[in-house]
Amino acid sequence: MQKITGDIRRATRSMRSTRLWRMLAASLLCCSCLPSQAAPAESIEAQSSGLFVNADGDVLTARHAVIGCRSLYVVKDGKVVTATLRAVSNEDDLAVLATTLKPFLSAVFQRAALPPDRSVAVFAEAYSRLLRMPDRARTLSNAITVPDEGGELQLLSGVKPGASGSAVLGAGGLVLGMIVERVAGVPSSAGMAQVHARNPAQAGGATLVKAVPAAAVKHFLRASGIDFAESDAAQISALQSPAARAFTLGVGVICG
Amino acid sequence: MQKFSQADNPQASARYQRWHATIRWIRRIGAGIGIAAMLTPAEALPAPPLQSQQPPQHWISYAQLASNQFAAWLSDPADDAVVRLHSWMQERLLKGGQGLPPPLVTRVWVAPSGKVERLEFASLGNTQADSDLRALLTSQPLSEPPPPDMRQPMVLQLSLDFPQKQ
Repeated sequence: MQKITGDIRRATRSMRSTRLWRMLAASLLCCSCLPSQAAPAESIEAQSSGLFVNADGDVLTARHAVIGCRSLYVVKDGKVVTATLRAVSNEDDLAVLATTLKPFLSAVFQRAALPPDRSVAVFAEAYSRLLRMPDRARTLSNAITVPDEGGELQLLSGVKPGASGSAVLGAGGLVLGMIVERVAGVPSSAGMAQVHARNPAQAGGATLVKAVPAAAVKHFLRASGIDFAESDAAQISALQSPAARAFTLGVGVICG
Repeated sequence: MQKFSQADNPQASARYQRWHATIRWIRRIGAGIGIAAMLTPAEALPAPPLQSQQPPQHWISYAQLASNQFAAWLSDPADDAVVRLHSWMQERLLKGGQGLPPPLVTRVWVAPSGKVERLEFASLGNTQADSDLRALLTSQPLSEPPPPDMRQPMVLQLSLDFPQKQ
């Protein structure tokens, strides 16, 4: 199975070439500071994605995207900040990074389970692609769920490398899960055929994509003592774009 | 103006408390200049029955987004307008013998593009401070367009303050 991460080396070089700078206190009376390290990030390509899970700036992402990294950075709205591993799941491809970022909004996970007998229109995309998505504010969905996969969450989606750690958002803006890997779209006698890793040419078109469902994410966050919100109340109206909300919640993740 | 205050309604009191808890949470995140927000859209809204006084969740969510984004803009030490506002507040505090400005009620109209297209607030008593505040809150678009069904303007209460230790 192909982990949906991007080109690590290119982003790392770019990261190192960008001079990190230390913010000064804004005033003599200022007792607290903004993130201690930040840099312009327009040219920095994140290898994977993540989403804010609380107002403290904790970022949920895919374990495979952050394990083994000597350093970790999170990109958001033109800033890069250092991140540290706060929690890693032994059961699912999940990890949480602690950051100094203050999100505009954080994820609200759907409390109820998805209907097992029908597909649901959803939105999921890599942070780096959301950044450049021209019609983000008008996009209502770009994927559908595959019914009843034994408690798993799978999508038929065209997400590209870099989408690991992306939120799967329902029409109400609630988080239904988090993207972790792509599987082939056509079942074979041996099960799902694997998509060869590190070949973007084979990543085009809609394929089956595996996500960790909200229930498993919440279980992990609870067990790790990490705050999060859940609800069944829609966070956006039917006429608002889940893509725009995904961009608000999303971050880019860089493994250094 | 239709306020979504539910203090007189015991049944709605819990929800009102939650709303204010949200506001306190918003206040804490201000890293430069504190900001609090209250959603009180539009005079034109007819008085709803008491049990429906709570704004729809997606309005609340958008108001949180707007107020948090305003807080971020007002906390950016790299922005000249923020530095001038801080300086004005310090001068007011240290030389003028005045306290911090009282909470400022702002009325915010957001275009479908997410840009703040109109902003009204009572003068801070200083032309430059007024200009800087207006520039800070209108120069960039919000992260998302507003809900099409949300009554405008949003009424956001800004508490201009120095950051608290976190």
